[in-house]
Amino acid sequence: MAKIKRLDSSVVTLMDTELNSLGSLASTQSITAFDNSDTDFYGDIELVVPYGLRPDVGPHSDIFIKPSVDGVNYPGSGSVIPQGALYIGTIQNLRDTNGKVLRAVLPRVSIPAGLIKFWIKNLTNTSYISSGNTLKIRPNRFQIEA
Amino acid sequence: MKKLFALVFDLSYVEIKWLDDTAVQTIISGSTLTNNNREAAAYNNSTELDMYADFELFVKFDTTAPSAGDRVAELFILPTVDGTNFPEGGDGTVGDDLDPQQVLKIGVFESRDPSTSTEERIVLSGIPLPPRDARYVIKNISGQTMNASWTLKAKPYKLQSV
Repeated sequence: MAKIKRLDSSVVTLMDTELNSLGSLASTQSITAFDNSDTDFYGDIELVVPYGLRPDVGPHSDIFIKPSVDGVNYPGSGSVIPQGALYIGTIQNLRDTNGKVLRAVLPRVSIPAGLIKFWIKNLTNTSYISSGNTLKIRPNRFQIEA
Repeated sequence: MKKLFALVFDLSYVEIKWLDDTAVQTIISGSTLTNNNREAAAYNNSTELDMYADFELFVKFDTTAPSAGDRVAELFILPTVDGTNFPEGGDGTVGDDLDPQQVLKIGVFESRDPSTSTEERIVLSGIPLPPRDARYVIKNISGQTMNASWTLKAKPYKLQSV
């Protein structure tokens, strides 16, 4: 009998400086692609934004996934919204307090094998702060333990 | 030819089944929980790495019970990504005393036989578990006060090949 269990991978930073001072209604994508060479099935994706200005409650940030089919090129650019099929989730502001960190997670996002870039649009009605913003992924897959 | 022979004459195969080898976990031992408030606790799945769990809310109500069929509580799972910090929302112990992101809500407990005298068992089945530490948040949406005897338990499980 062998046990089939989950297997957790290490956390990887997808974006940091790309998010600096990202303005309201502005978008950006990761400079460096995430290489899913471990061929993980899923990822928990975490956005951390230490807002300097008070955001409204309810507005959100939209996140898309942009897989490379040929291993070199990616669909669209950082300024063009990807097609809806690549949308993976929305992170809403939960409160309108100044100077607090928004730490939010999209769980169990299905990720393809190979190279992937991530695209984000700030729809929060306020700019991200000038530094300290991050978008990270914690991938996971299954394992057979003999 | 060897593979063909094996296909024709070797009828062995592998079965994949559930493996129920992790004990029942008491996630939250409740205290009185008023309407629209939350209670939370951590459960770390990084050792067993179970795939799923069935969650049981064991609850009765103070003073007045909700109606049969009412949705009485929401369950959120807040996985850590960096191993240290958890997403916002919960009971005020970690993060703010706010509702977590709706995408983290994994189910709603619906009462069938609510009571002020006898606890009812309400189950959510087949819920995927994160393979690490997470906080589990219960929000009372019953419109009534949950008695301090309430508990949230989980029966985690994985798969096996035999």
